[in-house]
Amino acid sequence: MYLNLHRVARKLKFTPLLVGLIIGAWAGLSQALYQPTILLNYAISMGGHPADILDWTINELLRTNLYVSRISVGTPVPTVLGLILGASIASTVHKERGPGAGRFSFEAARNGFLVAFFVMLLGGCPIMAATEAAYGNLVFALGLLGIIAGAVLATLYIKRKTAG
Amino acid sequence: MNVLTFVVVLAVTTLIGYAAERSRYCSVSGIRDYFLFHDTYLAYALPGIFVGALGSFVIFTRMGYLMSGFPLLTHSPGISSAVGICLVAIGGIGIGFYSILADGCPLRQHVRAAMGRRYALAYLVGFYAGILYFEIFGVALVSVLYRIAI
Repeated sequence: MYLNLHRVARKLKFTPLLVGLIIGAWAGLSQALYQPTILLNYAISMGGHPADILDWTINELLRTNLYVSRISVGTPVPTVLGLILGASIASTVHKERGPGAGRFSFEAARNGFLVAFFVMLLGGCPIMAATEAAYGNLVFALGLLGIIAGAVLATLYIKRKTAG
Repeated sequence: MNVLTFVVVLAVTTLIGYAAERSRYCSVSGIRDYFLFHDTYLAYALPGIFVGALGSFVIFTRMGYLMSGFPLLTHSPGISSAVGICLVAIGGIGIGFYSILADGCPLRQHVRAAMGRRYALAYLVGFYAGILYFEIFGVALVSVLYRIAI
């Protein structure tokens, strides 16, 4: 069974478009699955779901009262665990595991901190913004345009920095 | 969350994690690659999510599942709040800007961390610290801004 799955996985050609379509399709499916606990789009959010796991863990360990979404009150949504598990399997099977060229740097941690702050300010990551925009949420559609504008600004900044 | 839901979510997100690793999926790097190298490989990621989500919302609505208020449009929560809209725009620009400087969106960094990349592990330390910081101090800051505006 493992060998067959391995062979199928090796033959499958995943592209960013296909992965985007799968994530998008999961938005509707998960909303149908989560009913009647929550009635809102909560498919994949790399702001809300990591926050749920973090807050749930801290609440369990320290008996605090940090906010956890309704779906994660008993057991947190395992989105982060699934993503890490899937990526670990893929990198192990395809022999791509390793520390890479980058360093464990303060700059990386700072970037992560700032992205998290802005994700929480927006109320979702780029994936959440795109699925919410598809849901017809005009506020998140503006957030999505903001993300695109920010990415363009950063690209121009990098271009200018490397040229000068 | 019941056991079946937990297992289904874990299975689907494992598949997404696997596919994201294989495709080098990133939500924001496509914009950078297009502007720097005219490379469109990653540029289809965000439109893919939008099209997939729109299709699935329409299909599940037709199947009789309750997609609360879909499509929201003028009923979008927070649309009447000028402060809220400003914060959303600032949040969006900040995410786009720093995700490009960090070389990937939060999902991509989680995938990279799972691959053992040191840079992504440092990013995640900062990322989770940022979430905690916002929940402790940021929410209060946002409340103050709302109070000042009202």
